[in-house]
Amino acid sequence: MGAPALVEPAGELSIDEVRRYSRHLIIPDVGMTGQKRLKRARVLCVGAGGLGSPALMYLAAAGVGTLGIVEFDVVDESNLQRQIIHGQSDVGRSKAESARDSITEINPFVEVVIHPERLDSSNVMDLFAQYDLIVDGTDNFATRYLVNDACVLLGKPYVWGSIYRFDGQASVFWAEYGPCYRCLYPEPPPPGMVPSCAEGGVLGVLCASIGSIQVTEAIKLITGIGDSLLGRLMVYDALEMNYRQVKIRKDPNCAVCGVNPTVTELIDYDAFCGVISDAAAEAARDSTISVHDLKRMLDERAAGERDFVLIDVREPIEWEIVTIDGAELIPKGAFLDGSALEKLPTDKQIVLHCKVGGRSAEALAVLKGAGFADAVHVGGGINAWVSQIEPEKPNY
Amino acid sequence: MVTVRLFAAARAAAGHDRVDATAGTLAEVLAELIERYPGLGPVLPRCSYLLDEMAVHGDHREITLDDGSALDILPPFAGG
Repeated sequence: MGAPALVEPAGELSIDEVRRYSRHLIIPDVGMTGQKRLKRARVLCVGAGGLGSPALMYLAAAGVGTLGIVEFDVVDESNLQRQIIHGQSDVGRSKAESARDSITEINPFVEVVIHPERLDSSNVMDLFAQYDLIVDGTDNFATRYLVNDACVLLGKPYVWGSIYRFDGQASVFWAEYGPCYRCLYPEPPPPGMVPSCAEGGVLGVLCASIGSIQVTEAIKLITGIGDSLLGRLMVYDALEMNYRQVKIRKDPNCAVCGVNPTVTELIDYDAFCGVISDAAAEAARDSTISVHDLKRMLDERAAGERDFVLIDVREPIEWEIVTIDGAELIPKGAFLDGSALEKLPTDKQIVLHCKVGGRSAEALAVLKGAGFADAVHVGGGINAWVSQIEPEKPNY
Repeated sequence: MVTVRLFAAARAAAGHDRVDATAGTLAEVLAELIERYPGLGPVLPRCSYLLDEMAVHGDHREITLDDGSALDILPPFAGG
């Protein structure tokens, strides 16, 4: 789609650079001008993990002049199956430093800037402002919404990719010229309902399939050639070995890039995504029901065909705003200190809900640990209940 | 009829990448899909829906899919 070349060309290439980039220079669409644009480009890669590894290596080889790396983690042996920018001797080292060393070995003409910190609302704007384009290789929803919103607020193009098991997705988001990430995924999924690669695994080479699409798009945006993935989602299925495309239109109701945005500054992304502990995610994995399941269960209970206890683990002040008929209130704190356990029947299934599903997942972990094996929680909580089952009730 | 395209975990759960469904509200279309493909039950609550290329917001019972419209069902994942 019609965005101009992102970066103006740098000055002359040296003789060594001409030799190095000769296979680019003889492609008419890239040529000397395109290569000079790459040389002048400043690209920030968020994460030097699965997607970041191939992305950084190919961006470096392509001659992107300045590569920033945001990464606070250290190399673990379990990373090496896919994070090919790191090697055996890097285990235990800072990923940012390990990645820098690999990049320098691939292309000494690249200036590498490492930012060995966790990306959050306090540093993201200053960091992103130093770069032309952001490549996302993070591994969680909270950071992805953070990266998106910061890119929208700063007007930066956002080259996005995501992987799980055999599935990959990639797109370009750039609110100035098309949709943003929230136009595709307006709301994060209920906490605990989507396993991470650490929980569900990922085919190592999938990182290259998706990371190389991200680099392709970054190069096209920088040099202003071709048709970018802006307004299109590429969905890759490694088992079926196919790529399918989904067209995405800019959403006028988008919370951050829409006509009347409700998100005009950075928000608390952990709260927005209902970030939960590993124990809660583990407990919720096979024990999450939908609000439609709950509706059916309540109907069956009313008909005398089923028995269970529905516990609302929110706070009393929230209980006053809106409730699900047939629920009882026991705030999450009583689960964490154990006092809730003696109030619960052991001969009935326990169903937990909260506002969006984060607190109920935490309480569920306590219940599972105490032997309530068939306990479940409601994905999306009362917010999902109100929007899908009882819209006449208030949301908050 | 509406055309429903299923991706990633939704495709795996249904065993199809493209199915037709009866036009109606989004809630009705999803209920029909779950009835035909029960494996979709646990997957759909986390999905994003694009109706004719635009993300769906709000109450599924108030969103109408006319004959000939296209629904994309995309399960999100955030791995990297």
